[in-house]
Amino acid sequence: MSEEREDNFARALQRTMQPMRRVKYNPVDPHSFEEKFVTPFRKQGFSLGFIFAFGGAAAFAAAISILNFFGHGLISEKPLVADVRLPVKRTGLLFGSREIQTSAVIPQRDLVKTGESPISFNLAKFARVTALNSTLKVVESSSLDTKLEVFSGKGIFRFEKSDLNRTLLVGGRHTLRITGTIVYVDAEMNTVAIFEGKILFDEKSTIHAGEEYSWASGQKRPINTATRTAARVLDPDLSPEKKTEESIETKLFRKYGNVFAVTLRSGQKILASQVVDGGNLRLFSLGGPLYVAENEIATLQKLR
Amino acid sequence: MQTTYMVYREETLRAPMADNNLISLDDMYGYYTVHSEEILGYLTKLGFDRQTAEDLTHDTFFKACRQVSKGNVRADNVRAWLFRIAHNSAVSRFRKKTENPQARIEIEGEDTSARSDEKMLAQSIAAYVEKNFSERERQIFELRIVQALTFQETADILGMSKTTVMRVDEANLRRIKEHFGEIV
Repeated sequence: MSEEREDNFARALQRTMQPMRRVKYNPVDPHSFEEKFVTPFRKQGFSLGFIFAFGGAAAFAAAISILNFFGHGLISEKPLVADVRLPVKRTGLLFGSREIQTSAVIPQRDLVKTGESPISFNLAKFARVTALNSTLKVVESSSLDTKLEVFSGKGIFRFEKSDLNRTLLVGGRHTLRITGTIVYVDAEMNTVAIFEGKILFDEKSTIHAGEEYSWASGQKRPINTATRTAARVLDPDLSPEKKTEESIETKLFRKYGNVFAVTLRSGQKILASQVVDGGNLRLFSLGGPLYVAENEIATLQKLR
Repeated sequence: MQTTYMVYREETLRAPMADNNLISLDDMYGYYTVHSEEILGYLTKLGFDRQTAEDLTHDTFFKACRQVSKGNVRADNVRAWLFRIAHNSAVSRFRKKTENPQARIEIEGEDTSARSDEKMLAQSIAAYVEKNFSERERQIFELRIVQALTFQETADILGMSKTTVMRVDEANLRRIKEHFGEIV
């Protein structure tokens, strides 16, 4: 039998079985489809190459000037992310607009799960981000009109300064508290989904586990299948059913073979594995490596 | 029903293609609209529960969009390509669960234009296939007969040779013919 000589019986059977071909369900609407499936893969508008192509050496000089103006220059070698040396690559620098983008720059392995380890780092002079236990605080320390992107869990948050002022400003400090560990934000960072715990924008606005919030629409709703799917595609382990099935300690032990309880001089406590890497102690949390200078460590206790 | 579907697929989805015949992200919702229920139907019949099948359907289109964003997906045979992604997602899920669920064929939200006796016959054949066919035979039956894909497309999706698919398909048809006679 060949495709060309497919007999009548096969064709008749195909016609008979046609009602079995589809299973009806409510597909997502075009807007949601765009948001969940397409937008994450849209190309970024600006790239460093674009800038160079546009302005050549002059743009480069301008970029250096702006970077120095912001205080985290390439020249000074002051790390862009100070306390935790996560590689932040600048993907766009808009000449004259005082805007810096750091979108989609953190490799998955460098993501640190909120709630699993305390992290503290400076994003140049823009902001200080501190996550302690299950709380993520965003403290903006510049009056410049800028975007701030903070990564947490498996996603990246992006805040406009206006957002910070509107929703997060508490007594001059911007605070976003996430109680829980697993948060997914889509690539356009318009939506945040909470699989566990809750997210507190301010005292009046709380998003609970099982809900997602869209900055675009300003509404919250139950996490839909598309979001769950998108989250799981980014991280197969990211599933409401699979969270916290085993302790962090067990996960670390299974992954790295040793577990330490580390107390920093700042009082923060980290559960991590470790190797010595140059002058720094390189700690591995589940989210990736953290670099901590040895003189920052107060105590180091091996648990397993 | 079939005619409408074909017209929609051919004219709505293929016409806007660029000269290089590559799919763009803007085309994806059209493909989603046309093929998602088929994908869901296929995954359901592989034995997944409804929720999992819907999740895998979304997985399929998410992965498809990711691939399309790289700008190297041609519009030649999108349907078979989507089925291949769905099948691979299903296989991954099976492996993850370290179990091989029995195929579960059911009619949900079937085409209302079909007459009830045709639906009953389709149901009977599906039940027969579920009970008597091996997993491989069921997969080939599902792709070749239910989803009406070609031998080559089926072979590509299942990672088999075309010859194997043809051989198994022929045996499948012979068994169905023996059991149901010429009523089909």
